[in-house]
Amino acid sequence: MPSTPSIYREQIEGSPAATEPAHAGHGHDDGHGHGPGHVPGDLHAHVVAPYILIAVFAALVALTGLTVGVTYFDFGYNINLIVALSIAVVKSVLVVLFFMHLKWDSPFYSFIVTLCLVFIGIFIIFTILDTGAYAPILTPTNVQPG
Amino acid sequence: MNHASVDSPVPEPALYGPDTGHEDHAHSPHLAHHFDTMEQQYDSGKLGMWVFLATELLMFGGLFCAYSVYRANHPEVFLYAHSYLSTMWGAINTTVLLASSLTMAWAVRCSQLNQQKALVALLLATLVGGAGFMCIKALEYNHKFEIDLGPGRYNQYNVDYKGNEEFPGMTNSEGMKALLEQEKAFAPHQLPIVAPASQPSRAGLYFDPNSTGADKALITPRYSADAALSESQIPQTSDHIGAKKPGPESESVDEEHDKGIQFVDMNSNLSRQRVNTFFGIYYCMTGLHGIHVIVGMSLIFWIMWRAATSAQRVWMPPLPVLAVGGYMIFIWAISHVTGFLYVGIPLLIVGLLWMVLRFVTAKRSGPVTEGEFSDAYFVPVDLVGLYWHLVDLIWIFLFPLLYLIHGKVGS
Repeated sequence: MPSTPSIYREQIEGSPAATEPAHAGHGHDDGHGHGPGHVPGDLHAHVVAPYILIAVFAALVALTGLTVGVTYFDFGYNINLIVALSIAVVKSVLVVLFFMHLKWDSPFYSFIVTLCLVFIGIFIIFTILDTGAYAPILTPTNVQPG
Repeated sequence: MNHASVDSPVPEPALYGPDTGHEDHAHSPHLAHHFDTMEQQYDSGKLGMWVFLATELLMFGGLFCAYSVYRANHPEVFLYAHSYLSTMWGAINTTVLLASSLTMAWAVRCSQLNQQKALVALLLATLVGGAGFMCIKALEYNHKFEIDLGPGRYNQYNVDYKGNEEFPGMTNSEGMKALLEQEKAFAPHQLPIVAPASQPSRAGLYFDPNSTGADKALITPRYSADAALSESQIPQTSDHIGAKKPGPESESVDEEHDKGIQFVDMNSNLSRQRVNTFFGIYYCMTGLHGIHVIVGMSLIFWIMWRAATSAQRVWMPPLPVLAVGGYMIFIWAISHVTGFLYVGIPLLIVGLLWMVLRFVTAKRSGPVTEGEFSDAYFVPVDLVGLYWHLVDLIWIFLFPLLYLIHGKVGS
């Protein structure tokens, strides 16, 4: 039997609104909505707990402060860029996993996003490699064919 | 299996008398005909949304690529140009967007738990967050326009050279070319650190991004280290502006340089010239992001309308009119461009009248229509939420890449 997360079950059953479903014929009171009598094919999505939402938001704000604060220290142009981007990656992973539910969703969605990011990476890296492959100034020495 | 024990007692409703409710259950009013189950419908919708979000990422990927290429080749231009942006406002805007992401994620939770009032309230809070973001964006853009760092030809480096004493009678492109020729022949002892008073139109060239007031009138030679660069530090190929090989002398740089801004082996005046290219990238990236914020806000409003009861729908339709009118008046208040006032005031009046009309004509009695979403059907809230989080996600990268450029070039 597909298991429904306990937090979802408790809140559905504890919620006053749950006893009067908006749409007749599909409620939990008929014993087929959620909980032990779950029917395959029925909608069952994960509900994120409030403490997770607040903790993620707090972490995101803290990381925003960190990424601003770190600019007061000079680690060098490239290191600073790497630090800033690393913090941005951590922040985006938090958003994607928790706010966008990927932690609990089908891994196939994560696969789509990862594949997309890989192709963006290829796109950017190869373009930069290409722009680095030219002499900054064309002089007779470096223009002449070999 | 559990489901067998649930389903098998009622194999055919027709054979066993009146419907027990299972027939309704199998055909949820929200289930489209081309789906077998609600779960399949939900998963298909989410898959479609994630594929769409992937294409959105690819679209922004093009802009990130342009950014990367330009920054890799001209780090000093980014280092110089980014100091025109206010880190504080950028950080505030990041937090505003993160907060609206929190309310959106919470709204999805409420829709799953049948918390209808909280759902509408949180969607409204998300809209307020989006509006706050757009207002701060307007403040920032307005500041750029005020110091002649507008988009495209409105950038100070594309100003009309016809009126410029230095390039008399030249068209814009000729003036730009002449300016570049001048830059090519650059030598530090010739560089006017303080702009002559006779060139007000080029005053911005020496505008100090770190100064607090009197932007155009007061011209401070903040980057005095430019003059301190000796002849030997200037590379023989002065038009090679990529700062790839800093000399050992470049370490001794004026301490006064805020935020570690340094120009090592390049013609520093050139990076001032190239400021317009940085702002071209800036306007494209933040502009496309801003369009996504507006689209996201429209979608959230649509979702809020669908989530609302008939009683809550009374005050909703005039909201966009009021919001646009208020935004126009806000832009007028910061930019003093009267055109915005002419658009904003009528919109505000129409919106207020409409609102009064809505309340006067609202039905006081009769059945109240429920909102559309419940634990049985919340896909639209979920998918719009995903879109809004993507907007947040893009900004998470835009903020450090545009506002937080730091360090010594070449290190």
